[in-house]
Amino acid sequence: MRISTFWMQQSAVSAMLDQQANVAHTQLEVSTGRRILTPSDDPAGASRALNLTHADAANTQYQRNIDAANSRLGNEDQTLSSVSSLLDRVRTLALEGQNGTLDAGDRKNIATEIRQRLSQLVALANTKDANGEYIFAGNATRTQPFVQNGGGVTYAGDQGQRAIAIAPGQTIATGDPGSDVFQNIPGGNGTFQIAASPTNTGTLVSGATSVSDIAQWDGGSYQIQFTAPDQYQVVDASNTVISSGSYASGDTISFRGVEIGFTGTPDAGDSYAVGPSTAKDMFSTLADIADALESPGFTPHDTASINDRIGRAIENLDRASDRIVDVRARIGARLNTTDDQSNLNAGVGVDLKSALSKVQDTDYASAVSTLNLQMTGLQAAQAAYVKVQGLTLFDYLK
Amino acid sequence: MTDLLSTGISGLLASQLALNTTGHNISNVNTAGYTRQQVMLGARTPDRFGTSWVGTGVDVTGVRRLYDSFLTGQVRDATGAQSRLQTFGDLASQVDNLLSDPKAGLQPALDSFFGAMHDLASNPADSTTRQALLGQANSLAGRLRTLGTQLTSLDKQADQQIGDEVTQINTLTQSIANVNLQIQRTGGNPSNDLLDQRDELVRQLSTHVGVNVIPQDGNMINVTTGNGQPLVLATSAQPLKTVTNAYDPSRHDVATSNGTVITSQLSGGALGGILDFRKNLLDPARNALGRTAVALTDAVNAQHHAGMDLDGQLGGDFFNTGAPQTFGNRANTGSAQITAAFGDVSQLTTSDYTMRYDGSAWSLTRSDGTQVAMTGTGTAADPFVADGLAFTVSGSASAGDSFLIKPTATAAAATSVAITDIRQIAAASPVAATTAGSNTGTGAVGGISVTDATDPNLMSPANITFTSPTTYQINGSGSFTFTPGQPITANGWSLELTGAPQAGDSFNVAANTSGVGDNTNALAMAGIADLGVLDGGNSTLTDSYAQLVGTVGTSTQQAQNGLDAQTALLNQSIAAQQNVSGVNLDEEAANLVRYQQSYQAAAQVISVASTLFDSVLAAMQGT
Repeated sequence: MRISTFWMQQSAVSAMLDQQANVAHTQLEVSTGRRILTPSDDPAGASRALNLTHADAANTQYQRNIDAANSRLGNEDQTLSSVSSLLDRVRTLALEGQNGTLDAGDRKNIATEIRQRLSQLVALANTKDANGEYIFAGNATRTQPFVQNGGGVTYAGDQGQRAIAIAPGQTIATGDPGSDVFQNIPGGNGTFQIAASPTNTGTLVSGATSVSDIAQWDGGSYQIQFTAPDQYQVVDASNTVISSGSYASGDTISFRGVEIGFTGTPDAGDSYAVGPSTAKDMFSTLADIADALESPGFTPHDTASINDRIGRAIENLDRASDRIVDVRARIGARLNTTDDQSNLNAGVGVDLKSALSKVQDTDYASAVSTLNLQMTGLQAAQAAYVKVQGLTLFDYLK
Repeated sequence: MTDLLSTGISGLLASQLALNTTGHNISNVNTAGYTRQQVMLGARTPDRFGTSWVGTGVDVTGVRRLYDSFLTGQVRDATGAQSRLQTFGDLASQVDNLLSDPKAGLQPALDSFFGAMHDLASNPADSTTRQALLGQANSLAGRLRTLGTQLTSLDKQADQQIGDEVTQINTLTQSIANVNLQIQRTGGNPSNDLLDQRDELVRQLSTHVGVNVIPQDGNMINVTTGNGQPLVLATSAQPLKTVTNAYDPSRHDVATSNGTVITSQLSGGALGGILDFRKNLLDPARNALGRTAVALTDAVNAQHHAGMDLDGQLGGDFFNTGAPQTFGNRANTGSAQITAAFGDVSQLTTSDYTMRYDGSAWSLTRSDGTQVAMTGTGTAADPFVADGLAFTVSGSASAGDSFLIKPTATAAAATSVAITDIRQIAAASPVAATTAGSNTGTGAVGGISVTDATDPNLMSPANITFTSPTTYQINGSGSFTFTPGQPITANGWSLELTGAPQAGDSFNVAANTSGVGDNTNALAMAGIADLGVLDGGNSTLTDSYAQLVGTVGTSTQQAQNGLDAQTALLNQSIAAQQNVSGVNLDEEAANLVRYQQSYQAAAQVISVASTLFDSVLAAMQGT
């Protein structure tokens, strides 16, 4: 068989060029660390790499979101921890205030501290985060949520709660509106509340209240009326007597599944209102104690009344503490969720990165051995070319 | 009488010719298209000598080309196919490279944008976060523009190349016609080298466009395109020209000299490769990228409209993008104009469309020839709707009028950010719901979302008061049934309640004027990253871009694999052809030696003849 000299050279050169292109491609794979240099190297892989990159970017973003959520939740928890200590301190002060041996000056001093604590509580409720946004204002984060005006504190925020996405399709609330934390706390024992009539004149002081049978409690409004210092009757809203009996100091009066302890002696005509718990805010509870302590205490009735009001306010204070505990428990649960999700995301991140690496990164061991093989091939082709092209009959025609 | 001298001279001449031819072969060893030549020798007619015959030397009967028309034809066909794939592959690689860099592609920009949106959701009132989002939005739009513009310039480049190819085809067909003319002048008896030259011209022509060669009388040939469109008819070339596309003035078609468009009939060669690239890779890729841009714009804008910015205004457009393009055919005789607009973006395809009026009805055809059914009547109130597009026809069409619609071809290149002020970013919900403090039930606001941002009463205050645990009034009127788990809807919003409300409980919905810290809408916009916005809600933005990358990668890979295979085939056919027709220097060296020897021997014959003659002369002088 004959072959053409031109083609022999040409095809040998083409083969060498092909080998060179292969070497260059492998070299690029090694030097860039990328197995897929252009999508055409592995179209399915390139498209999968994009999806994996996206999933990884989203996962990283969720981690950022979790960090932001943790920071907000941590901030809130920290503030509420201070609120909790503050309420404990106020409770201690209130109990001190109930001590019968105090004179008006002592009570005034306690009242002064409670008023200071009240201002401190308002300041805590107006806590700002690092960006200068109020954390208890709902979504109205640029509006000071709690404003002291006159005797009360009003809420100017809204009921919004900021949700942050911590995983695909999963969001978590990263705050609680101030109205849910500091306000709308059920008064009394949470089921019902009692209040002495302002016209009472005796030395009756209400004590512990409890619900003995919630099934019997109908949430109605009742009055305990003392018809004589040792007789009482309970009337409902339509003034119908539903229960009556005799009373002695230290007795517990019970009706409709609720129990109320009393000490001291009422005058005939004294009464207590019993009704379902209504919403109360923390600030007014503190103000109630201070008001009680600041009221004059000349007569035995005055002293009893102060004790009674402080006692009822302490009951409200306990509900406020319960609320703070509840909110902190919710924050704790959210922090647990973000921690779990964060661990999960970290695992997913590792999986995604390893999958991405498998898809798009060069396998150095195999790439380098391929490169060696290709270089050996190229060297052999070059050597063979030189040797073969040197062979010509014309060399011998001399 | 046999003449030794003339016998010797005939050998001398034959050897000389053979040496010349060998020299010619050696000289042309590197000439493209050269076919090796061989001197054909034959013994001369012998003289009669009594009853015997005496040889009289050698005659050169001809110089032939060692040529195989079948092998040459094979090389020509393989060249056309290889050239098509080569051109397609080169152009496809440019798109492939454009999408190759994982850091410069669209995906990182998309991820950064939605990441910035998440950051905004974590921190909706912060101006730094808003600035960062605006920056990322601009770089995402910039990335889309860059990719779109680069694809557009590739389209221009391809269009330019079509013109260049046509020019070169015309030059070559003219040259072939000229060679035919020269052959005709030789009376149909051309030199080998002229035939080689013509074969080489035809081979060169086949690198530009696929051709057929039809031999004619008198050693002439006709050349046609693969589909029979004549390019050379004997001595006359049939030039091609480029004409502006009947629809799209930015594009050119190939036409015959009388203006008949033959673009769709051309295949093979570089021209075939360019046309293939434009139709099967570039157009779908531009449309796919544009479709992603449209889907992004549509989804983000729709959600942004449902939000409230820092100034308490409803969100405007977040991104701008290009509207669908429509082109009327230049030959349209009616006055009809068609306006196309995006409808349900999730139904968009990556195809272009032709809309045709047959005298009684309009029909819509995708670029792959599939007919698409349209609903509607084409009026502004009830437009034709198909594949996520809405067409409005104005004026009156004549039968045969047609329009080309390119829905998303230029959308990517026209994408920009509509927002300039960070305060315009609508991160908050425009409405907020509050639970009245006096409520006795456990009903609580689970969430409020905007269902119709265009409702004029959207931000008007509304009070929902429960008249019983299962019925409620809005603003003191009506009586609506409340089903737990079902939202309460009014004024374009939808309110979800959890728990069980009691009679007398009330909820208020009002403009979220102070809710600068609300991130509801930012969160919803961030969620678009993983929302099915295309292919009927099955593909996310990432999916659609990954699809584009996958498709371009596959086409390029196929072209490269095809090119490898076709190059191997071409090399085989060249090898086969060269094995017959190519010059082998060793063989020529051997021939050189052989003919040198025969030349020397013939010279020796003449010398002997001369000696013989001398001896006769000497004998005669001796007497």
